[in-house]
Amino acid sequence: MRSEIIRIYKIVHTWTGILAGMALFIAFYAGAITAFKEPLARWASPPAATSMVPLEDAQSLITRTLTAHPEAARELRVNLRPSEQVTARVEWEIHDEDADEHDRLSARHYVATVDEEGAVRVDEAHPSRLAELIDVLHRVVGLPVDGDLSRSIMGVIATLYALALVSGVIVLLPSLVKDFFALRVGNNLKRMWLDAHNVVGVVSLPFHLVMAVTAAVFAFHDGIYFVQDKMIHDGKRSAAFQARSAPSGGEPRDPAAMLPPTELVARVEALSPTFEPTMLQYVQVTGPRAAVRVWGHDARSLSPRAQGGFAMVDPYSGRVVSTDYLPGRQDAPQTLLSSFFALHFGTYGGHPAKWVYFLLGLLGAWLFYSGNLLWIETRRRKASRRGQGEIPAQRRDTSLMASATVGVCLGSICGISLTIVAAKWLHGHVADLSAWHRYLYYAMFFGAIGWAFVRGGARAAVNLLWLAAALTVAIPLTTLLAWLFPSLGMWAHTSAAPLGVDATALAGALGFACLARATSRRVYEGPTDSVWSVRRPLPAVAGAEAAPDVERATG
Amino acid sequence: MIGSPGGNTNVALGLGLVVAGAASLYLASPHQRWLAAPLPARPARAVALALLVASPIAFSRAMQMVPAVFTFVASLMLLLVLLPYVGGALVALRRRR
Repeated sequence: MRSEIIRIYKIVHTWTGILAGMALFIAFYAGAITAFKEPLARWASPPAATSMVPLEDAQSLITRTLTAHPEAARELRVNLRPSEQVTARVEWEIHDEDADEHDRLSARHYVATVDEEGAVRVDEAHPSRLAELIDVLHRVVGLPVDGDLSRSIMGVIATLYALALVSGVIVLLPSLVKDFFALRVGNNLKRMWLDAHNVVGVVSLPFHLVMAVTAAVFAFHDGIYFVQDKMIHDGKRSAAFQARSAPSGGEPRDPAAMLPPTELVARVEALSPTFEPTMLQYVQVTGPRAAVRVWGHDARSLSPRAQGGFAMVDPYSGRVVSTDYLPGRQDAPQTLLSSFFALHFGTYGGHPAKWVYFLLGLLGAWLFYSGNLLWIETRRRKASRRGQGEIPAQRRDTSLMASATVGVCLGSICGISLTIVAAKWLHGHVADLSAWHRYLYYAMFFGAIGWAFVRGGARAAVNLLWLAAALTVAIPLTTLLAWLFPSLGMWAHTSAAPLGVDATALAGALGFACLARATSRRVYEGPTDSVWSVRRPLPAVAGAEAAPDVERATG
Repeated sequence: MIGSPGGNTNVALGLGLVVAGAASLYLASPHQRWLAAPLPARPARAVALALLVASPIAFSRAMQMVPAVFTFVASLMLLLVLLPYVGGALVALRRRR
C-alpha cells in the first residue's frame, strides 16, 4: 500500500515538474537577478544630464509643477537620495489607461527641474526599464506582459510548483533521513542527478514553500481581494481602507500650504530614528484625501514591500496617519503579514540576505533544470555493459525534452544577458529602448529554442552555454570599453553597486564557461548511449569496449 | 545596526557561526565527502547545535529578532545545500587526478 501511494505521488511530482519546471526556471533565474534590481537599474542608467534641485527648494518646485501640470497630483514622487538611476528631485508617471494596472513598462515618465532662469521645466524622461523588464519576466514566468492572463498562468504554475514540492517530499520520506546530505558522484548518473536534485529540494524546502505560496497569492491577489470584498467588506473594501488611511475633508486643498519635504521627513525620523527615508510619494495632494508616503528602509527591520516600507503622513498638518507599513513600527499582525512579503523579496538582513536570496534563486533554477535532467536520465536506453550488441536509439520524448530544456532554460539565460548588454549599446540609438529590450530577449529566447530543436539538445547545450558565457562576459566588457573609450557614448559607473553588477556577471560568465567545457566533454567524449552524446558509435565488436567517437569534427 | 561598525561585526559573527555550525553538521554526516571519515557524530552535532543557536543571537544584536531568525534560516538553507555540492566537486576532482 505504501509503495502504491509513493508511486502515485511520484507520478504527480513528475507531471507537475514537467508542466511547470521550465517556466519556473525562468522565474527563478530572473528572480535571482531581481534580488539586485536596484544595482542593475543603476548599472543601466546613463549619467544624469542635470543636477538635482536642492531638497530645500523642492517644496517650491512641487507647488509650481502641480500648478502647471495638475495631472501630476495623482501621484508624484520626491526623491531624497540621488543615485545613478535617481537623477530628478521631482518625477511622476502617467499610466496608459488601456494598460493593465500592474503594467509599469508602458507608463510615461516625467521629471520636473528648474532651468537657468529659475523657471520650472518639465520633460518626458526615458529611464532604463531593464531591471523592470527582468522583474516582469520573473513575475510572469517569462511571458511578455504583466497582465491578468499572464498572472493567472503564473498562479497556475505556482500551484503546480506547490504540488510538486509536497509530492516530492512524500516520495522522499522513506529515505529522507538516510540520504540527507548525500550527493553521490560516480558512474551511476541517475543516482547523481537524483541526489543533486534532492539536496536542493529537501534542504531549501522552506524557501520554496514560501515562494510557491506567496507567488500563488500574488498571482491571484485580485481575485482574493474580490472575494474578500464580497464576503467580508460587503462590497465596500476600498472605502473602508480610504477612511482609515486619511481623514475625510471637504474642499480640495492648495499644495502651497503643504509642509516642506524636509519637515515631513523629520516627522517620520522623529518617530523612528533608525528609519532612513529615500522617497516621498505624494498621493492625491490637491484632493480631500491628500497623503504622503514617506518611503525608506530600516536596516534593523524587515521591509513590508520590495522597495522598502513607508509611514503615511498628512502633508498639510504633518500628522503621521499610519505606521502600518513602517519597518520597525508595525504591530504583530502587520509584522506577520509583512513577513510573507519580506520572505519573498528578501527585504531583511541587508546585503548578506540579498546574496543569500540571489544564490538560493540560482539554486532554485538548478532544481528545475536538474529535475528535467533526471527525467531524461531515468528514461535513458543503455547499451549492454559488456559493449555487446547495438547502441540503442534513445526515446524520442527524451530527445525532445532535452532540446526543450536546453532551449528554454539556456535561451532565457542568453536572452537576459543580451538584453542587459543592450542597455548600454543601444542607448541613444533607438527610439524605444524598452521595446528593444523585449525584442532582443524574445528573439534570443525563441532563437535558442529553435536552435536546440534543430541541432539537438546535446550540441545546442554546448553552443548555448558558450553563448551564455560570451553574452554574460560582454556585460563587464561593455563597461570596460565605455571606460576606455568615452567616445562610444556609453558609461562606466564607478560606484560599488554598478561595479558589483559587472563583477557578478564576470563570475557568472566564468561559471557558464566551466559548464560549457564540462558539457562539451560529456557530449563529445562521454558514453554514446544517451541523448547527451553526439558520437555516432561504430558497429560494436563482440567483447570490445564502447565505440570510439567518429563525429567530433561535426560538433 | 547593519551599516554601523558594531552592527556589521555582529552580522559577520552571525554568518561565521552559521557557516561553522553548518560545516560541523555536514562533517558529522556519513555522506560527507570533505574528510576521509566523518567527525564523531555526537560531539560534532553538539558543537553544531551550540553554534547554530548562537548565530541568530549574534544577528539579533544587529537587527530585530524576526529578521535575525529569517537571515539565519535563509543562510543555513543555502549552506546546507552548498556544502554537499562542494563535497561532490571534491570527489569529482579526486577522481580526475
